[in-house]
Amino acid sequence: MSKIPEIEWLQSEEAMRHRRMSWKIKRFSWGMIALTLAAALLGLLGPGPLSHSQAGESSNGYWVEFDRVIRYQAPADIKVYLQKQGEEGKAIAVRVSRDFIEKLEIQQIDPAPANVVLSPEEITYHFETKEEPGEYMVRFTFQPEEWGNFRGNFAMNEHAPVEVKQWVLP
Amino acid sequence: MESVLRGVIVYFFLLLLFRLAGKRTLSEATGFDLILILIISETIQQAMVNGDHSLTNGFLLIMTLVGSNIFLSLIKQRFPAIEKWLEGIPLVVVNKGEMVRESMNKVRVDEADILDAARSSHGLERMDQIKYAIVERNGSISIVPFEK
Repeated sequence: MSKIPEIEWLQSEEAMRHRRMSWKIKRFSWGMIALTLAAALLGLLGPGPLSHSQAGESSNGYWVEFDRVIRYQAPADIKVYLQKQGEEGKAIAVRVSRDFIEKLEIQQIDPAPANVVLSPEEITYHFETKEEPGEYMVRFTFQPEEWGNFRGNFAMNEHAPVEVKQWVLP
Repeated sequence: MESVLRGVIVYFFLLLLFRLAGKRTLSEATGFDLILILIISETIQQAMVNGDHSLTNGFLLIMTLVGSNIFLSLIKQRFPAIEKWLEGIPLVVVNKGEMVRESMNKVRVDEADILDAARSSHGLERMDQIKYAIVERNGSISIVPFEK
Protein backbone atom coordinates (compact mmCIF):
# COMPACT_ATOMS: atom_id res chain seq x y z
CA MET A 1 0.00 0.00 0.00
CA SER A 2 1.43 3.37 -1.00
CA LYS A 3 2.14 5.96 1.60
CA ILE A 4 -0.52 8.70 1.72
CA PRO A 5 1.04 12.17 1.41
CA GLU A 6 0.79 14.09 4.62
CA ILE A 7 -1.27 17.25 4.84
CA GLU A 8 1.86 19.21 5.77
CA TRP A 9 3.55 18.19 2.55
CA LEU A 10 0.48 19.08 0.49
CA GLN A 11 0.68 22.59 1.90
CA SER A 12 4.45 22.86 1.53
CA GLU A 13 6.29 25.23 -0.79
CA GLU A 14 7.60 22.23 -2.76
CA ALA A 15 4.06 21.04 -3.52
CA MET A 16 3.02 24.57 -4.41
CA ARG A 17 6.00 24.94 -6.77
CA HIS A 18 4.97 21.71 -8.48
CA ARG A 19 1.40 22.96 -8.85
CA ARG A 20 2.52 26.33 -10.22
CA MET A 21 4.68 24.63 -12.84
CA SER A 22 1.84 22.28 -13.75
CA TRP A 23 -0.62 25.21 -14.09
CA LYS A 24 1.88 27.08 -16.25
CA ILE A 25 2.27 24.08 -18.58
CA LYS A 26 -1.50 23.67 -18.70
CA ARG A 27 -2.09 27.34 -19.60
CA PHE A 28 0.60 27.16 -22.27
CA SER A 29 -0.98 24.03 -23.79
CA TRP A 30 -4.38 25.76 -23.83
CA GLY A 31 -2.79 28.57 -25.83
CA MET A 32 -1.29 26.03 -28.22
CA ILE A 33 -4.69 24.35 -28.67
CA ALA A 34 -6.28 27.75 -29.39
CA LEU A 35 -3.53 28.58 -31.91
CA THR A 36 -3.86 25.20 -33.64
CA LEU A 37 -7.63 25.60 -33.94
CA ALA A 38 -7.21 29.15 -35.26
CA ALA A 39 -4.71 27.83 -37.84
CA ALA A 40 -7.18 25.12 -38.83
CA LEU A 41 -10.00 27.67 -39.16
CA LEU A 42 -7.82 29.83 -41.41
CA GLY A 43 -6.96 26.87 -43.60
CA LEU A 44 -3.36 26.13 -42.62
CA LEU A 45 -4.19 22.54 -41.66
CA GLY A 46 -6.59 21.71 -44.45
CA PRO A 47 -9.04 23.40 -46.79
CA GLY A 48 -9.96 26.95 -45.72
CA PRO A 49 -9.61 30.60 -46.73
CA LEU A 50 -5.77 30.72 -46.69
CA SER A 51 -5.47 27.29 -48.32
CA HIS A 52 -7.57 28.18 -51.34
CA SER A 53 -5.40 28.89 -54.34
CA GLN A 54 -5.46 29.42 -58.06
CA ALA A 55 -2.97 28.48 -60.76
CA GLY A 56 -3.17 30.33 -64.06
CA GLU A 57 -4.95 33.60 -64.70
CA SER A 58 -8.59 34.03 -65.52
CA SER A 59 -7.48 36.78 -67.93
CA ASN A 60 -5.67 34.10 -69.95
CA GLY A 61 -8.92 32.21 -70.31
CA TYR A 62 -7.79 29.15 -68.36
CA TRP A 63 -7.20 28.57 -64.65
CA VAL A 64 -7.25 25.88 -61.97
CA GLU A 65 -8.66 26.28 -58.45
CA PHE A 66 -7.48 24.02 -55.64
CA ASP A 67 -6.55 23.91 -51.96
CA ARG A 68 -2.84 24.18 -51.13
CA VAL A 69 -3.26 22.07 -47.99
CA ILE A 70 -5.29 18.89 -48.14
CA ARG A 71 -5.35 15.68 -46.08
CA TYR A 72 -4.41 12.08 -46.64
CA GLN A 73 -7.39 9.91 -47.66
CA ALA A 74 -9.81 12.82 -47.39
CA PRO A 75 -11.87 13.91 -50.40
CA ALA A 76 -10.53 17.01 -52.18
CA ASP A 77 -11.48 18.94 -55.29
CA ILE A 78 -9.59 20.52 -58.15
CA LYS A 79 -11.67 22.69 -60.49
CA VAL A 80 -10.44 23.42 -63.96
CA TYR A 81 -12.00 26.46 -65.67
CA LEU A 82 -12.02 27.53 -69.27
CA GLN A 83 -13.36 30.82 -70.50
CA LYS A 84 -14.40 29.87 -74.00
CA GLN A 85 -14.39 32.57 -76.64
CA GLY A 86 -16.30 30.42 -79.10
CA GLU A 87 -13.58 29.58 -81.59
CA GLU A 88 -12.20 26.54 -79.70
CA GLY A 89 -14.74 24.16 -81.17
CA LYS A 90 -16.87 21.66 -79.32
CA ALA A 91 -14.20 19.70 -77.49
CA ILE A 92 -12.23 20.41 -74.34
CA ALA A 93 -9.17 18.35 -73.51
CA VAL A 94 -7.76 18.48 -69.99
CA ARG A 95 -4.25 17.04 -69.67
CA VAL A 96 -3.00 16.00 -66.25
CA SER A 97 0.57 14.88 -65.56
CA ARG A 98 0.83 11.19 -64.70
CA ASP A 99 3.09 11.58 -61.65
CA PHE A 100 0.32 13.62 -60.02
CA ILE A 101 -2.43 11.12 -60.83
CA GLU A 102 -0.32 8.25 -59.50
CA LYS A 103 -0.37 9.68 -55.98
CA LEU A 104 -4.14 9.87 -55.68
CA GLU A 105 -7.32 8.00 -56.33
CA ILE A 106 -9.74 9.88 -58.56
CA GLN A 107 -13.23 9.36 -57.22
CA GLN A 108 -15.25 11.39 -59.65
CA ILE A 109 -14.85 13.64 -62.64
CA ASP A 110 -17.81 15.92 -63.13
CA PRO A 111 -18.93 16.01 -65.90
CA ALA A 112 -17.74 12.54 -66.89
CA PRO A 113 -15.25 12.69 -69.77
CA ALA A 114 -16.33 11.48 -73.20
CA ASN A 115 -13.07 9.56 -73.43
CA VAL A 116 -9.67 9.26 -71.80
CA VAL A 117 -6.36 8.98 -73.64
CA LEU A 118 -3.25 7.68 -71.94
CA SER A 119 0.28 8.61 -72.84
CA PRO A 120 3.52 7.88 -70.95
CA GLU A 121 3.68 11.39 -69.48
CA GLU A 122 0.09 12.42 -69.02
CA ILE A 123 -3.56 11.48 -69.10
CA THR A 124 -5.90 13.45 -71.32
CA TYR A 125 -9.60 13.73 -70.53
CA HIS A 126 -11.83 14.78 -73.43
CA PHE A 127 -15.16 16.52 -72.89
CA GLU A 128 -17.90 17.49 -75.31
CA THR A 129 -19.17 21.06 -75.01
CA LYS A 130 -21.47 23.42 -76.80
CA GLU A 131 -19.81 25.90 -79.10
CA GLU A 132 -21.24 28.93 -77.36
CA PRO A 133 -18.78 31.13 -75.45
CA GLY A 134 -18.80 31.25 -71.66
CA GLU A 135 -17.18 29.80 -68.57
CA TYR A 136 -16.82 26.01 -68.52
CA MET A 137 -15.77 24.01 -65.47
CA VAL A 138 -14.59 20.46 -64.85
CA ARG A 139 -14.35 19.19 -61.26
CA PHE A 140 -11.93 16.43 -60.26
CA THR A 141 -12.81 14.86 -56.90
CA PHE A 142 -10.01 12.71 -55.53
CA GLN A 143 -8.45 11.28 -52.43
CA PRO A 144 -4.68 11.45 -51.85
CA GLU A 145 -3.12 8.03 -51.37
CA GLU A 146 0.21 9.40 -50.13
CA TRP A 147 1.16 12.31 -47.94
CA GLY A 148 3.80 14.94 -48.53
CA ASN A 149 4.35 17.39 -51.32
CA PHE A 150 2.28 16.98 -54.52
CA ARG A 151 3.11 18.75 -57.77
CA GLY A 152 1.20 18.28 -60.97
CA ASN A 153 0.63 19.98 -64.30
CA PHE A 154 -2.79 20.73 -65.63
CA ALA A 155 -3.30 21.88 -69.19
CA MET A 156 -6.38 22.60 -71.20
CA ASN A 157 -6.58 22.42 -74.98
CA GLU A 158 -3.55 24.24 -76.38
CA HIS A 159 -2.97 26.41 -73.31
CA ALA A 160 0.40 26.10 -71.58
CA PRO A 161 0.26 23.86 -68.49
CA VAL A 162 -0.14 25.41 -65.05
CA GLU A 163 1.46 23.87 -61.98
CA VAL A 164 -0.64 22.78 -59.02
CA LYS A 165 1.28 22.44 -55.74
CA GLN A 166 -0.41 20.78 -52.79
CA TRP A 167 0.76 19.75 -49.37
CA VAL A 168 -0.94 16.57 -48.16
CA LEU A 169 -1.06 16.27 -44.37
CA PRO A 170 -1.15 12.80 -42.80
CA MET B 1 -11.72 24.82 -41.28
CA GLU B 2 -14.67 22.44 -41.60
CA SER B 3 -13.31 20.02 -38.97
CA VAL B 4 -13.24 22.73 -36.29
CA LEU B 5 -16.69 24.05 -37.20
CA ARG B 6 -18.18 20.57 -37.17
CA GLY B 7 -16.58 19.84 -33.79
CA VAL B 8 -17.89 23.09 -32.27
CA ILE B 9 -21.41 22.53 -33.63
CA VAL B 10 -21.50 18.94 -32.31
CA TYR B 11 -20.15 20.02 -28.89
CA PHE B 12 -22.73 22.75 -28.36
CA PHE B 13 -25.56 20.64 -29.79
CA LEU B 14 -24.81 17.83 -27.31
CA LEU B 15 -24.41 20.33 -24.48
CA LEU B 16 -27.84 21.78 -25.23
CA LEU B 17 -29.44 18.36 -25.69
CA PHE B 18 -28.15 16.93 -22.41
CA ARG B 19 -28.99 20.13 -20.55
CA LEU B 20 -32.56 19.94 -21.84
CA ALA B 21 -32.76 16.21 -21.06
CA GLY B 22 -32.31 17.02 -17.39
CA LYS B 23 -29.71 16.47 -14.74
CA ARG B 24 -30.91 12.99 -13.78
CA THR B 25 -30.15 11.57 -17.25
CA LEU B 26 -26.47 10.81 -16.69
CA SER B 27 -26.59 10.16 -12.97
CA GLU B 28 -29.24 7.46 -13.42
CA ALA B 29 -27.51 5.72 -16.30
CA THR B 30 -28.99 2.28 -16.84
CA GLY B 31 -27.85 -0.45 -19.22
CA PHE B 32 -30.11 0.96 -21.92
CA ASP B 33 -28.74 4.50 -21.36
CA LEU B 34 -25.28 3.13 -21.99
CA ILE B 35 -26.44 1.62 -25.29
CA LEU B 36 -28.10 4.93 -26.15
CA ILE B 37 -24.85 6.78 -25.50
CA LEU B 38 -22.98 4.33 -27.74
CA ILE B 39 -25.54 4.87 -30.53
CA ILE B 40 -25.29 8.65 -30.10
CA SER B 41 -21.49 8.54 -30.27
CA GLU B 42 -21.59 6.38 -33.39
CA THR B 43 -24.07 8.72 -35.09
CA ILE B 44 -22.14 11.83 -34.10
CA GLN B 45 -18.87 10.28 -35.25
CA GLN B 46 -20.25 9.89 -38.79
CA ALA B 47 -21.35 13.51 -38.85
CA MET B 48 -18.05 14.83 -37.51
CA VAL B 49 -15.64 12.79 -39.62
CA ASN B 50 -17.59 13.25 -42.88
CA GLY B 51 -15.35 10.97 -44.95
CA ASP B 52 -12.09 12.57 -43.75
CA HIS B 53 -10.20 9.74 -42.08
CA SER B 54 -6.89 11.58 -41.83
CA LEU B 55 -4.89 11.77 -38.63
CA THR B 56 -4.97 15.57 -38.86
CA ASN B 57 -8.77 15.59 -38.87
CA GLY B 58 -8.91 13.22 -35.89
CA PHE B 59 -6.48 15.35 -33.87
CA LEU B 60 -8.29 18.56 -34.82
CA LEU B 61 -11.68 17.17 -33.79
CA ILE B 62 -10.35 16.01 -30.43
CA MET B 63 -8.65 19.37 -29.88
CA THR B 64 -11.87 21.17 -30.83
CA LEU B 65 -13.93 19.19 -28.32
CA VAL B 66 -11.36 19.54 -25.53
CA GLY B 67 -10.77 23.21 -26.44
CA SER B 68 -14.51 23.94 -26.36
CA ASN B 69 -14.68 22.34 -22.93
CA ILE B 70 -11.79 24.47 -21.62
CA PHE B 71 -13.31 27.59 -23.19
CA LEU B 72 -16.67 26.90 -21.59
CA SER B 73 -15.10 26.23 -18.18
CA LEU B 74 -13.32 29.62 -18.38
CA ILE B 75 -16.57 31.33 -19.38
CA LYS B 76 -18.45 29.65 -16.52
CA GLN B 77 -15.79 30.71 -14.06
CA ARG B 78 -15.93 34.30 -15.26
CA PHE B 79 -19.70 34.59 -15.63
CA PRO B 80 -21.54 32.77 -12.82
CA ALA B 81 -24.90 33.58 -14.43
CA ILE B 82 -23.92 31.52 -17.48
CA GLU B 83 -22.77 28.70 -15.23
CA LYS B 84 -26.19 28.68 -13.55
CA TRP B 85 -27.86 28.20 -16.93
CA LEU B 86 -25.42 25.61 -18.20
CA GLU B 87 -24.97 23.55 -15.07
CA GLY B 88 -28.17 24.37 -13.21
CA ILE B 89 -28.25 24.93 -9.44
CA PRO B 90 -28.61 22.36 -6.66
CA LEU B 91 -32.19 21.64 -5.61
CA VAL B 92 -33.39 20.79 -2.10
CA VAL B 93 -35.80 17.83 -2.27
CA VAL B 94 -35.96 17.06 1.49
CA ASN B 95 -36.11 20.01 3.85
CA LYS B 96 -35.75 19.24 7.59
CA GLY B 97 -37.13 15.76 7.09
CA GLU B 98 -40.04 16.88 4.87
CA MET B 99 -40.13 15.86 1.22
CA VAL B 100 -40.61 18.76 -1.21
CA ARG B 101 -42.90 17.01 -3.66
CA GLU B 102 -43.01 19.79 -6.27
CA SER B 103 -39.20 19.88 -6.55
CA MET B 104 -39.01 16.09 -6.57
CA ASN B 105 -41.45 15.91 -9.47
CA LYS B 106 -39.56 18.55 -11.43
CA VAL B 107 -36.28 16.57 -11.29
CA ARG B 108 -37.97 13.15 -11.52
CA VAL B 109 -36.73 11.97 -8.11
CA ASP B 110 -38.92 9.79 -5.89
CA GLU B 111 -38.78 8.70 -2.26
CA ALA B 112 -36.98 5.47 -3.19
CA ASP B 113 -34.17 7.45 -4.88
CA ILE B 114 -33.67 9.56 -1.76
CA LEU B 115 -33.69 6.56 0.58
CA ASP B 116 -31.29 4.77 -1.78
CA ALA B 117 -28.85 7.71 -1.55
CA ALA B 118 -29.34 7.93 2.24
CA ARG B 119 -28.63 4.21 2.72
CA SER B 120 -25.54 4.16 0.51
CA SER B 121 -23.98 7.38 1.83
CA HIS B 122 -24.88 7.34 5.56
CA GLY B 123 -26.50 3.99 6.28
CA LEU B 124 -29.81 5.73 7.08
CA GLU B 125 -33.04 3.74 7.06
CA ARG B 126 -35.90 6.23 7.31
CA MET B 127 -36.92 9.56 5.87
CA ASP B 128 -37.18 11.15 9.33
CA GLN B 129 -33.41 10.63 9.77
CA ILE B 130 -32.70 12.90 6.79
CA LYS B 131 -32.34 16.60 7.48
CA TYR B 132 -31.64 17.66 3.90
CA ALA B 133 -31.53 15.82 0.56
CA ILE B 134 -30.14 17.87 -2.29
CA VAL B 135 -30.04 17.03 -6.00
CA GLU B 136 -26.61 18.31 -7.02
CA ARG B 137 -25.64 19.84 -10.34
CA ASN B 138 -24.27 16.51 -11.61
CA GLY B 139 -27.59 14.80 -10.80
CA SER B 140 -26.40 12.92 -7.70
CA ILE B 141 -28.30 13.19 -4.40
CA SER B 142 -26.43 14.48 -1.34
CA ILE B 143 -27.78 13.58 2.08
CA VAL B 144 -27.35 15.59 5.26
CA PRO B 145 -28.58 13.53 8.26
CA PHE B 146 -30.03 14.99 11.47
CA GLU B 147 -27.39 15.30 14.15
CA LYS B 148 -27.63 12.50 16.70
